[in-house]
Amino acid sequence: MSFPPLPRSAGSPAGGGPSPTRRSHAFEQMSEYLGGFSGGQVVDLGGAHQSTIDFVTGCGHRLYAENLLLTLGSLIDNSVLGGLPGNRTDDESPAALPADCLAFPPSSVDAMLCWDRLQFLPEKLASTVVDRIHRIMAPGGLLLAMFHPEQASAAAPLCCRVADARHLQIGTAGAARPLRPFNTRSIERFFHKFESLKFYLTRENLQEVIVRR
Amino acid sequence: MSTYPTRTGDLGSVRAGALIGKSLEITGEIRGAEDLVIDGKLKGDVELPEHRLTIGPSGVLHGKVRAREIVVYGTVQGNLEASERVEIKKHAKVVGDLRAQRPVIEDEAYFKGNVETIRAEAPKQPAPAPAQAAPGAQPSVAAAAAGGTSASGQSSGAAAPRQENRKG
Repeated sequence: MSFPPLPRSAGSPAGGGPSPTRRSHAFEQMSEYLGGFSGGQVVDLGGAHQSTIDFVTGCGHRLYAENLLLTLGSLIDNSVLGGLPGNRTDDESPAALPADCLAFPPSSVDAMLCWDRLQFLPEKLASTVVDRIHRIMAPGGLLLAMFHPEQASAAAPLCCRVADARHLQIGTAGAARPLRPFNTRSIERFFHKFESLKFYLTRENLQEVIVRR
Repeated sequence: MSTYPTRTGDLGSVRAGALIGKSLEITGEIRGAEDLVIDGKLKGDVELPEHRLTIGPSGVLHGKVRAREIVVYGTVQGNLEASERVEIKKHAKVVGDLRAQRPVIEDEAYFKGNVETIRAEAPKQPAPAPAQAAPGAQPSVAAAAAGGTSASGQSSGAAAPRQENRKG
């Protein structure tokens, strides 16, 4: 059994202090959706955070937590990941995912909290992850994703936790950098297999997107 | 470490629980009716329905666990089910599913798996007396299941953790 080494700040906000809490209209939509049924499968690709676990399980759902950047660490360029154990360049990154990554049966996931993780993956790998997400999500299911603004090439991955049905606690975690910029058009192309997208622009110029499978 | 249970001077009795030490590697199932601390390596399932299992900082467990409380400081690969709480402490590493009334995962723990909460059982209300009891009526499935669980916890207990195939 091998576990990926944790960077010092993985899973906790940078600096160790409490992260600022702010309202998220995209998450509000996700909350309304999650409150409409129970017994669903929710996936958090940002890792396990107690407040998110409490919120999701409090809605009556199961939460699968996995830090996607740690799981795929060995497939990603070291310079991109900062403290993570990557060792490949973008061109060398394989398009195949490890067998244990997002290994859900087709159409079995009702909601996914993707945060900004896709922006830190090489292009081929990110496309493969999106294809896998499309396969495992149930039709009508919702995905929440975030994208850093085009000029924010030095942005670090976000450490996002659910504060309540309307608010997220957002800090930064790790020293990775976004691999490429996304604008509205490229985000639409990225999720072209999905049914619909709804964009919310935050005060920090972060694009929050609700994607419906 | 000081919070770990300790043995009394009397070798035949254990005051607060059992300890699998750092140098021990065990393959096999463990069932019992006392608290257990694993600081060594165990490949196999653990069942302590009424007690607490602690995986110490150097403990490594490959297998399923069912206990009243589970606290992980070390490494676990397998599903954890607790009737009360599961705590995954800072720097612990767990790959597997959690089921508990109160699952707690501290920051800087590595966790990959499903988390599901078990609803606390509501105190039993006396069933309203039926107007006319049907002859040969069966108790409800829920009542039978609840009774069965507590009964097995009481009666099957007795034995201290059973360890099999000790390797050295």
